[in-house]
Amino acid sequence: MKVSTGIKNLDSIMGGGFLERSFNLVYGGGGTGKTLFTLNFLLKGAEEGKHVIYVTLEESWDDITRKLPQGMKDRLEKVKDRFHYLDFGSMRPVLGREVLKSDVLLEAITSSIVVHNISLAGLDGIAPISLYYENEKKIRSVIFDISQSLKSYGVTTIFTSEEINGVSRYGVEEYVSDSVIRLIYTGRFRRLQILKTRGSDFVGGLHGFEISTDGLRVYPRVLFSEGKHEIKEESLGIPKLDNMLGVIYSGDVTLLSGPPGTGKYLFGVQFIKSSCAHGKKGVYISFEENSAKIKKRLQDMGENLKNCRVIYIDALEMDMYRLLWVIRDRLKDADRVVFHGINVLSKRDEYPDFVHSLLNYTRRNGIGSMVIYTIPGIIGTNTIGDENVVYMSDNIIRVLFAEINGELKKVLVIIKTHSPTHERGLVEYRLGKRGVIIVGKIEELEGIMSGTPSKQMEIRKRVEKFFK
Amino acid sequence: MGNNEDKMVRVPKDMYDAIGELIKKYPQYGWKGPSEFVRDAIRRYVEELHRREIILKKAMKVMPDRVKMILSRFMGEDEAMEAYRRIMEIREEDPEEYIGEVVNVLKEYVGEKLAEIIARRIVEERLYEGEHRD
Repeated sequence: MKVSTGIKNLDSIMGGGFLERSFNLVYGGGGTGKTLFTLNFLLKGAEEGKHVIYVTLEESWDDITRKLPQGMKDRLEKVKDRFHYLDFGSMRPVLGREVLKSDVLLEAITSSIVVHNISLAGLDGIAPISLYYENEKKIRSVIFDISQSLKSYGVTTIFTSEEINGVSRYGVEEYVSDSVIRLIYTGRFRRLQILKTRGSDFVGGLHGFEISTDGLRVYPRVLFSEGKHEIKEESLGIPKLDNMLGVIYSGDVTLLSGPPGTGKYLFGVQFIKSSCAHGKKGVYISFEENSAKIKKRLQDMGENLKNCRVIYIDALEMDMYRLLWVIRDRLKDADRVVFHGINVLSKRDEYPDFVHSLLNYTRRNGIGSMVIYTIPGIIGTNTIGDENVVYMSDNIIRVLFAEINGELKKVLVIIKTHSPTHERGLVEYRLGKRGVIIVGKIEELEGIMSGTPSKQMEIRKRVEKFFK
Repeated sequence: MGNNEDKMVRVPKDMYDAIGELIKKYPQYGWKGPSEFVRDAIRRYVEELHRREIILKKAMKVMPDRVKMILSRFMGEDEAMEAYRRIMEIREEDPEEYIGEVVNVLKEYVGEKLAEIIARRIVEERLYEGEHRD
């Protein structure tokens, strides 16, 4: 049997939560949220009708409750009949440090467990216990005794410890714990790491973690797929371009990369528009331009996206893992999505995880995605995107500028699709009132990718013809 | 000097010898012999018992309120009030017995060891209060 950690997403990445009758360590530096994690665990249990007990060994209960976010205070108020506490923090100055002897402590806790029929406990801040014990061996044995005693009463417990040099305060707490969770605060974002869970697998690595007014939220670094989808052939939404591509499938990731000014967003609009036209939901997520601006541009072009949603996300200040889950929520019931300007996030440490998880999610759930990748520079760059996006892409289309007959023309080339017979030539396109218009293949020029093509090919053909 | 009303008590020889040594060791106390030493020791012990009884009686008077205050900080108002009511129902007049019964009530809430610490602390507070006043 598993007991919820109090955080749904955390349960999902640690096999359902804590083992029933287990002793679990949560450790981290000061201000990482250990106390709130413990309280959230107990509040969730109390909300489910269980009797719970919080034992504070350092801070006083008054201080803790005064500093609680309002939402958690409200939750506590609603379950106060089932939420019990023992405030050793404020008893120490009154009764002396003798109260922190493990036998005194344990007897007080187990008395409350019996009186209130407690099933969940939180033991917050074990540091003061060590005042009585001179070495790690003894401390380990004391913590072990406490864990065994609480388990024998059928209680599932979280206990917290400070982090020192990357490990828990005494370096022994991990050994007596059934699961170990580490909390980190970088000064900008919070991270949570599962280091051990007895009896189940877990998703390793750092996950996003947030303290909100009404509790704690965990944003796993991976999105879970929500079931299998049937793979179908689909259209990109730009008629002549579909012919050039050959075939694309539902759930495909299509990378469209190119410099600013090549009308990439119009490709994106047509991509989701074809979805909306069939009564489905398409979502256009921009990390670059705000949604009002995009909507205005569409309005000016006479476009009305009906069921489709245009969303701007200012992601630069947002936790990448939270962003991942925000996007997931926005994609509910969608069958197509455009990610415009995903590369603004490429400098963030979590970017590889983010791209992999996001595109894996859309692919597994049959949501066709177009990733619009802006490449700086006007002509002559051959980049198609960073390796994270390229690696995940099923189709790659590169748009570029080329100087042809004294004009800067827009050209596209298909780099990769599923179809072995896709168009390999370079194709000119322009942007019209109704979107992208494919003009036709450029036959007589070469060196277009350099941005400054020449007519070498035409001259060569004439020479060949002459000698024939 | 003794008189006809005086009674004899026996002490073991070892204790008698130890008294003799103490008299020699601490001449500043002015004990003239073992009898005077014993009278002085008994007088002091009786005073001590009397003082102890006064302190315990004082502690008895404040015990319910102090327990309520300590418990309400330690585990909340509800349990503190419940324990308070139960302590108020104790009818024992002997201070030591009374405190024993308070510990019995408290141990159900906080365990025997912490119950004893709480009761002892309340008694010590009275002792400290007395010394401070002296």
